Order: sequence, then C-alpha cells, then structure tokens
Amino acid sequence: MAAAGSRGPYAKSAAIRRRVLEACVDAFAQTGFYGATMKDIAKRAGISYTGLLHHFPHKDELLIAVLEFRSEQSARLLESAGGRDPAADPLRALRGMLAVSADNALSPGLLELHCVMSGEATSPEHPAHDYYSDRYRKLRQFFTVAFTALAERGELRSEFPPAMLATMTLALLNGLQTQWLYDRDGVDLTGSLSAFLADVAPALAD
Amino acid sequence: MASPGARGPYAKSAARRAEILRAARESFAERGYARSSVRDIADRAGITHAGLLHHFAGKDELLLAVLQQRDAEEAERSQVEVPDPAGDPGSVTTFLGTLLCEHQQAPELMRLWAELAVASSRPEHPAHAHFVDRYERARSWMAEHFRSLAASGDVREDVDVDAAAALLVAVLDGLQTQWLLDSRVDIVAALSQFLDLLQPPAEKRV
Repeated sequence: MAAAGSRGPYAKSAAIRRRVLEACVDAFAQTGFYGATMKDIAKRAGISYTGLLHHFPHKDELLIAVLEFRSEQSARLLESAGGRDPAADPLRALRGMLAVSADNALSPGLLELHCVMSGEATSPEHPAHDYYSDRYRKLRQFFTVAFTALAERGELRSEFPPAMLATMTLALLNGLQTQWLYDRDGVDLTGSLSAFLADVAPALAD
Repeated sequence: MASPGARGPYAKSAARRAEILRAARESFAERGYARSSVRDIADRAGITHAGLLHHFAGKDELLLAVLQQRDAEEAERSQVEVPDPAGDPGSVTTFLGTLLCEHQQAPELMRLWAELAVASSRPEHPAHAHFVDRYERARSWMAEHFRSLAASGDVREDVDVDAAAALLVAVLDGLQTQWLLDSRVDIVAALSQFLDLLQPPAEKRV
C-alpha cells in the first residue's frame, strides 16, 4: 500500500502541500500574516497561483495548517521523550519540554513563525487567535499538572501555587522568544528555561 | 513671537499634523499596524489621502511619529512616576504592577505593542531601531535595580543581575501576551511572585 501510494497522484499532491507549507513558514515569518500574499506564497513554493488555490483556497487555512504541522512535530517529540504524562512523571515531562525547546532551535524559520504569529494573534480577529488561546491554555495546564505532582512529592522548591508557576514559566519562554528574534546568537532559550525550571525543581538538575 | 505664530499657517499645519497623528494612533490600535492603511487614517483625520501625504510620506513615517510622540509622553510622565531603580525595592515592584494594570486598561494598545515588538525584530522594519533601543533601556533600568538589590543583600547570591534583568523583561512581555489571549490569567500576581523568587531565602534575610 505505502509503496504504491507513494508513487500515485496522492503522493504528488502531498509533496506539493508540503512545499507550500514550507513556503508559508518563510512568508508568514518575514512579513506577518497580513503582509504575506497568496501570490508570493505560490511563487516561493514554485507553483502557480491557481494551483495554490486548488490546495488551499484561503490564507487562513494555510496558516492553521502550518501551525498544526509545528504542534504535531512537537507532540511527537514530547511523546518520544516519554514526557506526555506530567502527573505520573513530572520530571520526564519537564525534560521532554526542554527537548522540544532544543529541537525548536534547530528550525529557526518555524520558531520565528511561531514568535511572530503569537504576537499578532493577540488580536481577537486574527485567524490564529483561537489556536494560540487554546495552545497556551493547554501548556499552562501541562506545567500546572507537572508542578502539582512535584509539590506532592516535596520536590518543588517554591511555595507558590503551581498554576502561578506555570503562568510564569510560559511568560518567561514567550518573552525570551521575542528577545531571541532580536539576538539569535546571544539568547539561549533552552539554557534559560532549563535554569529556571531547575531553580524551582532542583531534582531536574540531577 | 508665540502669539502671531499661533494664528499663522504654521499653527494650522501643526494642528493638522496633530490630528493626523491622533487618527494614526487610533487606526494602529484598532486594526493593528499591519492592517492599517494611510487611506483609513486620512478618513479618520477628515482629510484627503493626498492631503495626508503632504504632511507624512507614508505609513512608516506615521508609525515613527506616533512612537516618538509616545516616547515624549512617557518621558514627561517618568519624571514624576518612574521610581529610581536603585531606590526602595518595594516601589519598583509596585510600579511594575501598576504599569501592567494600566496596560490592561488599554488592551488595544497592548495588542499593538505585542504585534510591533515581534515584527520590529526584522532590521528592515521601520520601528526596528526604536524597539532595539527600548529593550536596551528597559534591560539596563532593571539591571540597575537588581544591582542595587544585590548591594544590600536583597537578591539571591546566585542571581546574575544582567540575566535577571533580561528575564524580568521577558516575563513582563510574556505575561501580557498570555493575558491578551486569556484575560482570566492573573498577571499582576504572577509578576510579583516572579520577583519574590529572586529574593534570598527567608532565613538569610536580615
């Protein structure tokens, strides 16, 4: 099945979709959602404008497809690091998040896209507003569960409520990402996040 | 001198410029910078498109003028309200908390800054130099604050003041992004607890 499929029209279509998504990463990251045009994206992907519309009729869909591609990648990595269950194994969950962060640094284009979009998406009319509201809520939840589990084991140095620490962790990461946009060699995202987490959960450093 | 000038053509032109800037500010705040247009700004100011271009070359120049105006307003305010970073630590915490509360009163402006802060990281963006300078000043103000805390033993010994300043700037940025995406997040409490995290353990405090 897989071999036959990979030569059929579906595979060709999948390859084009992939090329389009890669073109979008650069276009949206460089000019923002509103600045990017479908014509420019088609050109970057090396396909015709009508060809692009055939695969993605609306710019909104393109953006959501790229963002979902990125979260699926992160979810798979977290899974393979054994970090999907913050309640059962909070230390592995936090280490998994650090692995995701280290992996993000290897795809600066995607990371830039995420930073630019999360800033733009603060506006309620932005097509990625719901996506980011939902994503940040889930991330807060993830860190809250991990910190709660650590507190129950007496492995949380801070007496602050886990939910508050989760908000802080996410704020720190998000704000450092903005700083990274300005100074890509000088800002060590994973290093700073790791130092902060090891500070609230010393067992993480062991 | 002042009195004849105030009635001459110069005064009329200055009033027109001020009206255009007010309209630009409103348009940027309401629609975001990327989605605003010179045409919309001209409409809001009640002049023609060509009339606006007589005063400002385009959207980039309008943005810079709006940012300069805001800087001037802040500089005026700061003489009375911004505490000495090397002064009483409590007043710095209170000041930053008040700042966040004030920003919460004007979410559309907060959104505009969130959009501009990331978009301006590109060197070709009209506000790039402005934001580079702004971040630099914020970091050095906060570093001065932490240096003064370190001198009086009011910050943990293992805290690097420059790194802490960058983290505080990041937390302030990131908290506002989270709040814009979900207004239930208590960002003022999270900020104050972040600052508490940097304090020396209770038993070591004098």
